Amino acid sequence: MIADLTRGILESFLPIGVVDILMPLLGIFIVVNVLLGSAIMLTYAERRLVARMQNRIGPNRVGPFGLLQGAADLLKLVTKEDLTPRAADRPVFLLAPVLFFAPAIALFAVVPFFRGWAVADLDAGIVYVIAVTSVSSLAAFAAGWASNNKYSLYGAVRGVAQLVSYEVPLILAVTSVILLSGSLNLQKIVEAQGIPFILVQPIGFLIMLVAVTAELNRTPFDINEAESEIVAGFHTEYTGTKFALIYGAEYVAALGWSAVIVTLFLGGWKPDIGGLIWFGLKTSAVVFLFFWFRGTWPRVRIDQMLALAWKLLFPLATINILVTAAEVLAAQALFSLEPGEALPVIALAVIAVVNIGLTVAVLALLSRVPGLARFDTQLAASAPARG
Amino acid sequence: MNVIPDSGATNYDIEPVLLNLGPQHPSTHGVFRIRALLDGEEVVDVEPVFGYLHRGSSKLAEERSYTQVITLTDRLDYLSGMSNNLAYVRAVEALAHVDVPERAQYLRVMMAELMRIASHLMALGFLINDLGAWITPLMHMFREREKVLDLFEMVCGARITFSYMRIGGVSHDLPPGFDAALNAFLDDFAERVAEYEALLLENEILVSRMKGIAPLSGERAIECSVTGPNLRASGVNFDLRKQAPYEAYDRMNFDVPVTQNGDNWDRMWVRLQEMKESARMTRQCMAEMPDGPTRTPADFFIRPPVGEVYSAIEATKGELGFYLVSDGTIAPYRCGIRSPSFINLTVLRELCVGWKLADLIVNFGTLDINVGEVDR
Repeated sequence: MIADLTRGILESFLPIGVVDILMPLLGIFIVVNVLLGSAIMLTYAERRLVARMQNRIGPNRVGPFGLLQGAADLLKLVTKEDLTPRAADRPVFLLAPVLFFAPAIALFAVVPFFRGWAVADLDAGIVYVIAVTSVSSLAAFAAGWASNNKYSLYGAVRGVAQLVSYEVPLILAVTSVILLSGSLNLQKIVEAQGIPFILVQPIGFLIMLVAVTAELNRTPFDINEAESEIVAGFHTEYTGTKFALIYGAEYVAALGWSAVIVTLFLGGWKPDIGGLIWFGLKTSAVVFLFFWFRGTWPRVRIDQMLALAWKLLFPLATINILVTAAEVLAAQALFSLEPGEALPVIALAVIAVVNIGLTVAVLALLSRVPGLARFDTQLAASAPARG
Repeated sequence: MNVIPDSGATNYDIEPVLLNLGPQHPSTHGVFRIRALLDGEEVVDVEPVFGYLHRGSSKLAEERSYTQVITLTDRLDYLSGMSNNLAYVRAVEALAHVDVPERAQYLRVMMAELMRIASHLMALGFLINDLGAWITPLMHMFREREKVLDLFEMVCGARITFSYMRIGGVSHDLPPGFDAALNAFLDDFAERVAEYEALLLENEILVSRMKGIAPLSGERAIECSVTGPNLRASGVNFDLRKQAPYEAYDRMNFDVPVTQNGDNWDRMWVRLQEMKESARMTRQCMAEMPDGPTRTPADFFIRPPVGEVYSAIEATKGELGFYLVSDGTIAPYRCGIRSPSFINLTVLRELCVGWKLADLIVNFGTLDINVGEVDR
């Protein structure tokens, strides 16, 4: 509606050809700026929320409730001296923050904000998401390598190991959603969710959540910028505007991945009332999860992280795909659907009940086997000697 | 100590990376420096470098009267000033044969145990910070430590540099209202420790990061003169409070937590349990404390007879000993300090070699050193 109105106004004084070019640019302009604003507010939100978890108050001096803290920090970073280490590989060093930031923004091109509206409604939307976000890991490696700093190098190398491991379960988790919806298009995936896929695909959701946490370098998988070990990892040498880009990109990426999780598993813009409100609320809820992780958990070690990816998530995701495929085939046979046709709600509901049962069984098994058993024996071994 | 070859190392097919951790590093507990030789993520060799916080306490002590030296001991291990005070004044009292009134003995035990709670809280908080949990546990443990410091402030007016212990007693008696404040803290603290145990001991990531990592055998710990919670985590039941009771410790009911594995987990666990025992002792002190004077009058410029003495207590981080030599003047001729942090570092290299870089940070954290005490 607003788009039509804007179009009408522009057409009143511009040739139609120019308006055709201007309209998408206007859309991109709005989306990018809203995103940058959100990223600034997210830094504030994280600091306030985590401060609450840590029994602190958090920033509350700049503006009402400290709301302008993010803007003040940005201003500070932009006006800071822009240092480049003498031994750094200058072109790569300067390019890396941009390379890091761009994919985080580009990710939003295919995210459907509400019914029938995305900046670019690609048919292979989900493939685009995975392809574009991989670039940021490359950028992190470039940043770490070009800094010519050992801490940065360690961060960079860890980042690559993480990328290689967690892309796999991530893609497999996404595949299970594709099987259910029969489409790579994010709009179609949302429309296919008669029931939110988090209920139909609980295991897929959990794997996705873990893999995205790793992809975002957030606690407990923040090993490539592990503060207590390698100072700031790949961005140790970055200052000023370049640091602001990297810092901001992490928040934009968190927002972007949360939006993708919402689209794939939480029903996207559904229920289709109130415009952006539902989508915004759901995305905020997922972002809050990441903040919560950060305020709660310690970090895993790199070998444990890789073991988790290859020994647990990868087999689990593979089995999940096989089970889902069997369920979808059965549903298609039962309701005599064409391949690629969306499943009816009743079929989704049956699959949901089966999968939730399976998930509970798997989780109970997992929490019993590696963790608690070891913990019990530990307690027995550590009984205090009375002396 | 192994000397790390310079960058011209040729005896390796693949040259290991020399990573310099500190003195400016987020998890060096002050200004400690570790030169770590790494093969990928694996630690090949470790060389601790210290002296960045050297204040020359031993030498300064030789130019001050015995009473003035008390203020220097506050600054050794700045997280456990009370214990340092106690260790020093006990050495002077042994040298000058000064008796301590019974009420002062109870007060000293009470303050030393409260100090142990505060120090162990910091040890655990920073340890989990090193494990990557950002500063959430640290901030929560700061909260409890603040309450201990509030109690100290009630008693002596200072929060870090107490100088509360005096030769022959303590500087002040308890202020009115201290009893209620202490009970309120202890009641709250029991709940908090239960909360920490629930949050920490059942955290799967914490278990996998600490259980079985960097074990230290009891024999090796004794060979390296390791003392304190690190020794007891390795299965050696040695605690000066039990083995050589001083002050009112022979009248205290407390258990010494001892574990068998000597790994990071046990070192953390022992500290968690010791806090509970300390809280118990503090409560007992408050209940059983007799009335009476809190200080035997002694000269400000006390002149102990010619002689020497070594006196040690179980401080928060291990055996803290003072070796004093008197030449009959108002200042000690020699003031040697056996600091547990420094001597516990002996095992740092063998704890870290062969483990991952991330483990190095944690192993260093579980040793619970304080750079002020390492460098003195």
